Amino acid sequence: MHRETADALKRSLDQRTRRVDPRPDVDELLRRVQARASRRQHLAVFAIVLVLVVGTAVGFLIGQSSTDGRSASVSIAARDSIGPTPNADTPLQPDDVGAAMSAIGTAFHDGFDGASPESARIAATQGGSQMVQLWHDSSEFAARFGYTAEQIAGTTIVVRDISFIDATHAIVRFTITIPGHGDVLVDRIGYAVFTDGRWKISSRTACDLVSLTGALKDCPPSS
Amino acid sequence: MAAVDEAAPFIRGDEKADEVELAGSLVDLYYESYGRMVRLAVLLTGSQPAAEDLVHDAFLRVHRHWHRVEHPKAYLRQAVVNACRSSARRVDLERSVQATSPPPIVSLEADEMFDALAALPHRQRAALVLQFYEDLPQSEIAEILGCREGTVASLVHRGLAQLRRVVEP
Repeated sequence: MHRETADALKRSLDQRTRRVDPRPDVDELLRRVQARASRRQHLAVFAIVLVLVVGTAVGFLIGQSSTDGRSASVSIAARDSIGPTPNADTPLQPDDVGAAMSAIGTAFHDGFDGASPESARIAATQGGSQMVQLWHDSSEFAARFGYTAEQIAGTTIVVRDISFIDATHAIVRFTITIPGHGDVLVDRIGYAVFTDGRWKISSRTACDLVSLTGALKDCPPSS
Repeated sequence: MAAVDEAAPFIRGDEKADEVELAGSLVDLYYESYGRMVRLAVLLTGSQPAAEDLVHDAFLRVHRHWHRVEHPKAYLRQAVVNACRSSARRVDLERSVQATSPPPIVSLEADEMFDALAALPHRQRAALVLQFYEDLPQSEIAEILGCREGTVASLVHRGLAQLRRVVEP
């Protein structure tokens, strides 16, 4: 009965959505996540302060009207039921964002560029020394799928986006290209972590990528 | 800049690792679904800035309930539709309070069908958009709108009839 109307509606919806150009803004998303976490922490602190004030006031009032010593236990009990005060001032990004972004970019290049020496790769990866055998295994597996040693050596990475979760963790979006195979990983999400005095590729991210070659089932636990 | 604790971010059970993994999963979902959700919200609200704001809020809702949500994509879609409904209610309320408020902004590129759709009640509009844009089965639409399948069929039928009356008087 309404088939023509439904078809016209579909066309209209299609035309309308073609004019929409959404621009993902992951920083805005993470900012809202962090803002909500901060609000919750502030609310928790407020609640704790409220309990302390009310508990103390109730204890004081009971103390005024009673001489059997129970008044003190009211406020003490109120305090004992409260856990440690959450830290509402956790930094949301490193002090020097520019330097951190540069260091993260360097780490991902050192870790994934085919031309990087093994020592640089180890240094750029969290738990890198434990990954060496896995990297060798993954190269062998890659060869079975038609990736030559020259092609692997020509691997390049482009870091497209870095978003900080806090002062020591960041989300990194990157694309890896292998000559002869094009962009083999596009807009892949990985993590960077500040450890041992420098930014590194997180062991989980390194393991995830090695796992893609089928070289292993489980990554080693991080140190 | 302090060095990170030894456990982060790989070891299971570590709170920081969970937090980082959750943020990563959310970002994955964000890149995968953001565009489609904004388009859906534009169809329900008629405004891209409002749609983008509502979709970000919907992602925040997904983040809040992530560990209890079995199908994040479906939950996200429902959160977007609900956010658009709440927004529509606020707009309706503002219009009713401001008797002299101007009419809704109409696109310069006239689209009679879309304008007619925009004039429908939210549930009818949502049912039509979810069926004809998202291509969802009526059972899923019923879940999103919190009603029975029969109600969805009725909403779609009446919505199409209304559109037909408007565009083919």
